[in-house]
Amino acid sequence: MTRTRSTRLGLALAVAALALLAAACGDSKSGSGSRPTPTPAASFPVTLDRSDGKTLTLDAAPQRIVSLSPGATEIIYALGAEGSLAAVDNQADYPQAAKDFPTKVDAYQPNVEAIAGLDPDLVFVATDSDGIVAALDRLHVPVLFSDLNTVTTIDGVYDQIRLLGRATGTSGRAEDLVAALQARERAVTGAVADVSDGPRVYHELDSTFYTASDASFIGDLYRLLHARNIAGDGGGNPYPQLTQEAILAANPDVIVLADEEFGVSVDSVKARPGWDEVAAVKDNRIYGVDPDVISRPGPRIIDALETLAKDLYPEKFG
Amino acid sequence: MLEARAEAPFAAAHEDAAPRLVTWRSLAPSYGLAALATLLMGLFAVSWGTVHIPPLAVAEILLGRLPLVPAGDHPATWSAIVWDIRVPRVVLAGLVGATLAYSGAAYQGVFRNPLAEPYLIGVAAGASVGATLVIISPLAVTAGVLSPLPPAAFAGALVAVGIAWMLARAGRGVSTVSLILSGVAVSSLGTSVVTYLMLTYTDRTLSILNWVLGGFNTATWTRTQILLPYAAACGALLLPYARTLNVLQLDEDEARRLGVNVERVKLVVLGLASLATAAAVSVSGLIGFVGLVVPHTVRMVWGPDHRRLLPLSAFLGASFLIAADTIARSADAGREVPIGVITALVGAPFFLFLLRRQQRARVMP
Repeated sequence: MTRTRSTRLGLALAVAALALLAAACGDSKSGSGSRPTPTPAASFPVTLDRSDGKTLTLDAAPQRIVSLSPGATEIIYALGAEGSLAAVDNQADYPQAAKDFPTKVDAYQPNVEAIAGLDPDLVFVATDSDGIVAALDRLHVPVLFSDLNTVTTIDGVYDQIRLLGRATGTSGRAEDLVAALQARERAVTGAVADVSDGPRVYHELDSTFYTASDASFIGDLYRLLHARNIAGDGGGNPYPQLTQEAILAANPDVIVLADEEFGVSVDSVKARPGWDEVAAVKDNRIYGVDPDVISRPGPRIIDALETLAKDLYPEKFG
Repeated sequence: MLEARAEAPFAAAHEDAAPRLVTWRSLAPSYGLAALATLLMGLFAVSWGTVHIPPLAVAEILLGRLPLVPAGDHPATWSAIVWDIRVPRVVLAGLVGATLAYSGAAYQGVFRNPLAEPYLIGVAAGASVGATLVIISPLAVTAGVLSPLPPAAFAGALVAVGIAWMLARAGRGVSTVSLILSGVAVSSLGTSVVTYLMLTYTDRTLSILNWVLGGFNTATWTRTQILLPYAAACGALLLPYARTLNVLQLDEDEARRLGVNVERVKLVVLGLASLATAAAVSVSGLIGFVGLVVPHTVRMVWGPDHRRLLPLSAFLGASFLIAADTIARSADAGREVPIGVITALVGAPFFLFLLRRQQRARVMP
């Protein structure tokens, strides 16, 4: 049983890592330059709810933030608050500046001493691995813990953006960013509003047929697109492992590969024994997707939504 | 963890078995029955799955593969599911189960230790390191034909066993005690390397875990072709050592007096069993308990004679893993249950039961 748990944990971690990376969208941010920016002083002190039921009160805008979440890092860049970052985690790779960030810490085996040594006035934690939240609490380091596992919808991403906006004193920009993202989301969902019978989709996370069910954050994208996820609700498991037999029987119209960096390709899927009977293979509808973009709760999630919309409905979005 | 030299746990039963009265020929019917049972289990497994395909249709699809037999008129998807998905899966599970079980029997025979199993002296840890290195490398990790994963796992397993063997060598021979100890050390080393890599390359954590957990969800005919020669050849070469293993159960020194070249037997038997296990692990990942529990079961039911133990372990191991894999792929409507969980769920309680039984037998002679 521990093995199942650790698999799922591994999956959650992997997805979390990917999810975190996907956040900072420079494009959507640049449009907000002319909008009024709230005076940071007005928004502090601020009290924020943490995922563990505790609260965190910040008396002033943090100047030395340690982000242990690539998604949060993307959001912080998108909010233009990157000047207050002291360190990012070693999975952070977007935008380029985050990838090149001089100070990096390990988010999976967080070294409390190293983090505390950075003298942070805010540590953002999305995955409480190794009891990092409690450890930092003991050291009286301000921790904002927002559990990645609780972000299961796009709306959850918007909440995440707002939360980081309040934490960094950029609430106005956060609202602008959310509004811009929502407008793009509506453009997509509006175009598919009349679809009642969308394509059957198999979203592949790895070559052993792990997938994302309706219960996952990725599944929410397919739900918004009126696609039918062959994994269904996964029996409540956000990332179930399907049998090949079930995939072939479900006969997906579209296959989306989030595992191309692991050597899976359109051609290798076509070459799988027995898969030539699958509609997506016959119709050549196998698409790749950047796993970081699609699984990190960050502003780039709408990029993923738009890409998937084009793949699923080429006639509407071509 | 291991009583290095358990008090020849099988020796007592050995005397009861009166091996001289048993000839190879008299064993043939039991081999035949076991093979038949395994075949039936395989056929059942092929006709069973989350997608309901009538057994008659399955039979027609299978027979349709033979020349001159007309394939029935069935949906192409059914045929793909039966021939491309289920049959290779069942065959691979059977081959891996057989290999792990007879290797386990051979290990237990050489080490004369009830806890011995085919991963004891580093195969598992070595294979994990090999597989992990491929997974984190830029090499393409595919479920397909040219995956570098099986050869890397295979090489890793052999390197680990080789190191354990070298470390255990002292003077002319290798004592089983030092071999177990060096095997444990090499295994720990390998495990720590894998754990470190898993936590360092976090985007590959899932792939590594997946491999370590093992299973047959990606079984292909190619993989069965990789394993078959090793499984068959090593099994066939091990069988002639059955008598020698019987003698070895008495006592190493006594076996020497009876003219057995103990060092050579150890080297050959462990070498063949490790080679076969390495091949099995390289195509299926690490599947626990089969190599431990199946030989014990055979020994309890059919006695300790290795001429029976080795082949019957192979057949029972095949049936056991085919059954476990059938549960893995059909218990949870289209979702995969890790097979290690199933073998452990069955294996762990059974193992405790065995231990209790043995303890009782010791208390009340």
